[in-house]
Amino acid sequence: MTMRLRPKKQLKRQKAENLGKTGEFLASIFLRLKFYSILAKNYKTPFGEIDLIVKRGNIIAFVEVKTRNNKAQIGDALLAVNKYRISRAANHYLMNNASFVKNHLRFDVIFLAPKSFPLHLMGAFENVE
Amino acid sequence: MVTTVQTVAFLGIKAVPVNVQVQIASGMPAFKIVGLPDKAVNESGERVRAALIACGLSLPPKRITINLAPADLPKEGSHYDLPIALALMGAIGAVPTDALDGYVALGELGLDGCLAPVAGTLPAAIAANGQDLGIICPYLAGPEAAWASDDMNIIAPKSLTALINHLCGRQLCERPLPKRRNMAQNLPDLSDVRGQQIARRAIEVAAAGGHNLLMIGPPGAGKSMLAARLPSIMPALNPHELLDVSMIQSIAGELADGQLSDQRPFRAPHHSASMAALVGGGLKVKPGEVSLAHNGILFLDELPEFTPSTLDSLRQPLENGEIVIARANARISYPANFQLIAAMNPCKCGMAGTPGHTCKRGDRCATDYQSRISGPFLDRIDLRIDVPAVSAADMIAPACAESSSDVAKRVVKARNIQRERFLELREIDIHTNSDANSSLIEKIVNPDKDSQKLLIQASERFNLSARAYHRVLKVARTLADLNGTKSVARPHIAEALSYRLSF
Repeated sequence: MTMRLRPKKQLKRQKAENLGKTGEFLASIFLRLKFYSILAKNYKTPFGEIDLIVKRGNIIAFVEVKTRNNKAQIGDALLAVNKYRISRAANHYLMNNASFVKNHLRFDVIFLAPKSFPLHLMGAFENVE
Repeated sequence: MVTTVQTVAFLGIKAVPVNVQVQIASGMPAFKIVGLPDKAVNESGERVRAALIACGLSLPPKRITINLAPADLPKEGSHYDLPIALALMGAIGAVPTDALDGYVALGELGLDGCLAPVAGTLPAAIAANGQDLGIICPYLAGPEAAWASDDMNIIAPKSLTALINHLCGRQLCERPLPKRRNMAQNLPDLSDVRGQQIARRAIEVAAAGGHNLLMIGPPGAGKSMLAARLPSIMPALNPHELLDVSMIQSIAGELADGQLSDQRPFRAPHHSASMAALVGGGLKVKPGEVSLAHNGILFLDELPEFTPSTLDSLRQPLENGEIVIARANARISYPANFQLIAAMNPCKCGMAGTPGHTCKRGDRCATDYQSRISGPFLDRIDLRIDVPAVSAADMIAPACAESSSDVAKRVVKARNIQRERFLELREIDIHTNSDANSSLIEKIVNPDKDSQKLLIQASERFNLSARAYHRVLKVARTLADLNGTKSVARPHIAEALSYRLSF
């Protein structure tokens, strides 16, 4: 059952979603250029979603991509990262892929905005229990 | 891989060894401190992280577990910052781990990586020396640590960067020198006091034998003035006492700049003091005023204004020279061998007993006021004297009273006689007559027949308790020592009795 939204609001929502999708696509290309291999995209669990799960050497990174129209919104974007949701989803992923537990695990955030180089924050936060 | 750094936890003035273990493992990135940390210890994670960043180091995004062993001992205080930071630096390879073996570390970190002094450096240094270890402590606490031993390794850096440079052998820190606070030369002098010959004699006796003293007199008679001049006639602390006193001050965080002082402590708490403030206690079982006055003077002005239960809590330390604070989570004993000096007015209006004055409430004015002090408490006070108001003639007369230094000479002489006597009897821990127990006092006082008769008469007539009897003997012994006579004679006993019976 889909919720009935007012046409104007629906349009706004769709725009934001498209922006997010584009951002995630660009981030995956950016990570590939940094020699990461993509393990999963939009990994969905009952308690949350991880945008990208990537691997390079011994490191597995759970990446949250934040895309904004304005470079100045970086502060708000980083504050909006739901650490709890990502941590739970990451733990879910590890349960299903037990062989990765021995790797170094990391939580990254990539911030994208027009006319600026992608900002890759490695180890942006820690596991929240 | 686990890196271990030694530090201490404090139980009273005892320092218990604690190991800080750090493990950096792969897995979910996390930073956890376990081992019963209190709030200050848990927050140290944030300070350590900031300090490491200030030194140009950063923590790897790995699973970092910090354990403070033994895990069942509650850890409190901010001095765990430095050992945690050192163990982390050892684990990430910023300092060689073998450089950390053989050291006990304690100190608080600032966000910029500077080291702030912490309470308890002296007991920690003594404990470290006992285990043949060196100590790493903040720069300002260095002089305090240096008192523990002349040949132990002490590193007292100003900042974490300086410590890394020292441990890596790039730039060495200087060994701190033990500092001593200059004896305060501007102590108030006894020659300021006009008249009051009896009171002067009494505080001389109190200083010589370490006896408890109660001064009763109308307002403005000079009771507080006399008490404030007592430190100037007391002998300096001997090295053994100095260490005891400084340990307590260190735990209480009262050693300024890590300087030790050989002046006897003089504590004068206000009469609104609570029981926990006086005997010690609180959540962390801190030492109270009685412990801070160890080997020194506890001056209680306006004695009846203290709550009666607070005063009666002093009965045990007055007798044992030690206070045991028992709580659900701790049982800690602090030394509390203090000399009690108290002052009070004879009644609420303050003038009872002054010639030509009658209280509005009659006799009850004095009896009600004085009954606030319990009998058992009074029984523990050896010298009770009246301090009458000073007459105008005394005030106008030129000051010709003795100065503190002259009195101090006699006091030191009497104390030396006592010390030698107790050393002969192989009682090393006893320094003054008031410290001696009843069997010892019977051994050192041999009253002749004449004075024995007086003693028996007095104890029958005035109903002296067993404790009071022994306390009279102690005061008599001190009086004889002040006089320089070997045996206690009838005049000494008579004077001692007069001090006890005047109230």
